[in-house]
Amino acid sequence: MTDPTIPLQILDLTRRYGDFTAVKRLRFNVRPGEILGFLGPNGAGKTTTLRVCAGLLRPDEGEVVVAGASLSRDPLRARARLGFVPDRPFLYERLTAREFLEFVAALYDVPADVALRRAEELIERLELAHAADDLIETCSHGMRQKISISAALIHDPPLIMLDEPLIGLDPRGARVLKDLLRERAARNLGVLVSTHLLEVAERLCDRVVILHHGEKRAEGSLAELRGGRADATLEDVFLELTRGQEVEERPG
Amino acid sequence: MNWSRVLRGRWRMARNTLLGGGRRARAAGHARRPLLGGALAVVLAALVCAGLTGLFGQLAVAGADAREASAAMAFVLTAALLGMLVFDLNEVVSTLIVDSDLELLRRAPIPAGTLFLLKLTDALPRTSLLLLVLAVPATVAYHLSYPLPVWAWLVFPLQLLALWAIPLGIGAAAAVRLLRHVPPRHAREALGLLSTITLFVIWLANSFLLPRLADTSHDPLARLRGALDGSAAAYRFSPGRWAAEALAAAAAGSKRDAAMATMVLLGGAALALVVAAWVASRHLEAAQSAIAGGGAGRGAGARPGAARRGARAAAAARDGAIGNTGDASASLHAPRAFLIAVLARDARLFARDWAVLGDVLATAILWTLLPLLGAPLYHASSHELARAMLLGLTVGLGYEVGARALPLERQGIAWIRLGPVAPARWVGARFTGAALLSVPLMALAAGSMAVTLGLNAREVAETLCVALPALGLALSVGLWTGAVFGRSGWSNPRAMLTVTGRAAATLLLLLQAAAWLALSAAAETRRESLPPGIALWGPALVAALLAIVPLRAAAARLAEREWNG
Repeated sequence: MTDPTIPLQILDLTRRYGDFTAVKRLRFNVRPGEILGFLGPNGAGKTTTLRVCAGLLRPDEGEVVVAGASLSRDPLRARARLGFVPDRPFLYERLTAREFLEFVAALYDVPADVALRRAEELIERLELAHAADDLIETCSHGMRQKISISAALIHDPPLIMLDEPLIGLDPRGARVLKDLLRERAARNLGVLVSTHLLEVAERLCDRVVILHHGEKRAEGSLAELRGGRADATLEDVFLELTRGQEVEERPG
Repeated sequence: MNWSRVLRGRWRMARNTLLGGGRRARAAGHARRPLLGGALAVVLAALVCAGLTGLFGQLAVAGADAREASAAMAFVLTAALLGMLVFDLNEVVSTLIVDSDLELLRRAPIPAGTLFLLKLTDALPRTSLLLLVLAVPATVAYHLSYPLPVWAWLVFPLQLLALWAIPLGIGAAAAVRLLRHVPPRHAREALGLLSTITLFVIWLANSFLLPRLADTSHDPLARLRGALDGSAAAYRFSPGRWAAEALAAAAAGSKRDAAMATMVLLGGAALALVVAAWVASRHLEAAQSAIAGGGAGRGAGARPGAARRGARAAAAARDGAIGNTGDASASLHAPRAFLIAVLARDARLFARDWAVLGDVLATAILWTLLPLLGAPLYHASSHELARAMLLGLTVGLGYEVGARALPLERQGIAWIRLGPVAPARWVGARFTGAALLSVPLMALAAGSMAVTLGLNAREVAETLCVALPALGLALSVGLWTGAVFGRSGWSNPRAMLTVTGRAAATLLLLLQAAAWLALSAAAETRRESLPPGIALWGPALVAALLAIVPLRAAAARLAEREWNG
């Protein structure tokens, strides 16, 4: 059940807020070498699921296993094996990007010389160099997002989860991020991307999971989701699966 | 603007804030906090009421009439107003300048003066604690010795509202005006500095008043008269004095005088609000715009030396290509590297948040000097006075440094749940950081006292044997307070804890100071019957045993705390 080669296993995950169930018995895997798109309308439970998987929220039922380590039974090992890019970055405003990456690398026990090299490569790749020595509080939203992405990658984890990572990024930044994610998949690592940009999911992801009202509505590659209709787009499939049920806005 | 619907919306927001509205908040246990806060407020109010009931009872027995006793009421009400300036003004200004709904409100067709009044109303529930725990119980205590008629109680809520509006209205207007001249990047520090300076000024003012209260005469009336004689001019224009005069007139049965004093008070409040609304209509929008656009000045915050480090890092990156280190991420933590990283980060955060650092240093001085104010009350030896002063500093640092250590991290505190580090280790690192900042302050204070009070080496050692363990315990309690009541969205360095947290921290602080002083006094009187050397190791043992409880509780709190953004 806890296969260390599988980057993420979500096993019957349920999360409630009081009497409201945000995520209901959710079950899927992120396979090695794949980019899995996590789709759903607003309030479907995507952010809640990612936050539970990152350890920020506790599940009410079910289990999350990160590269063989159970988040509930071996939380430190599980957290060490994942990187998380939240929708709103958790940054220290009064540190510079470089100092922040140095700190996060120390949290994950990345050797200092390795951390230094990785930080520098990420700074170069994400075009942060001109702002890397400025206090984060002076950075724009897009720059903060890039710093958050760098922090999630600094320990080179087997799994990276990103919650709406393209929001705030300029076209070049978005392109660099997509390239980075593809490179990780090519190295047999796992990527889980939550997004509501269906075009991005269609082009970037190998498979998608569609969530609605906290429940999984579909899982598979685009070809599988089309179900034999060659002309159907992901948007068509998505709207069909979530049709007529968006009256109630929920947290998530 | 549809006032009734707008006010209904604001009421819902206030209710949800106070009662933990929303499913997520309730599920995360936020709904329990108001109950705890309410309970603590009731305890504080009961303590104040009990203390002042005793005072007014003594004054009544000594023959003071309602008007003379109202001088003490004026003192308490003025203290509440000054407390609001220190702790709550910043909250009001933050509500006016950086609240999350300002963007929406500024787009709406609302005049700036009206927006000001709307946001001032928003701030009311968050800034009225001092009135509830000081002014209300003081009035109840006054009523028990000098009964107030029913009509006086009916007018009392209006008087309370005026007592709230005068300092915060004028304070907010002054702050908004001031913020026009402060670079946006430093607005938060400027507000923090304002609180620290206000605290300092109030403390200095009190240092003149308290020794007068400590008159050696046993006649409480004489003491009160002595205290007030020296500060009569200052009190003449205090809204607290006007409110107290209204109560005294009511107790004496003089409706006319009570109405006059109340009118003066309400007139003062109306004037304060008009002035504030006028200032807001001229400057609020500019201040809001400046703050809203303040984060965009990239390059303004570049750190000296950081570019050099960047160049070194780039060179290192060129020297060796990045390779996957296998399962580097799966390795768990090397304690030393983590500790050094946390300490380095803390040092940077503290040094760059100079409003917090300045506040810590200023309050460290004030806490140390606090026992001096009471010195005329007791005939203490130099050694005893030094011990009291160091204990004052100790428990103060528990609050000023320990309780702030976790909230100082702001949103970054989420890394406690994201990173692969056990909460106990986080708490240990934060404790070490707090101690590294506190111990030098303690050493500096001890050295200064040894010189100024002429203590010998043995006395200094004995004093430190109590003060250092007390510091350890105080920092542990402070860390727990910060873990439970810390606000990651703080703007005022004096309000890094929730209102409930500040009340809890104050109670714990008083409790610790009293316990250590009592323990020291008991050990002093029974020195002969105690095991030899216990004065050296006893306090450390007691503190170590007791400190385990808050440290474990803080770690447990961090482990269970959910982070939902």
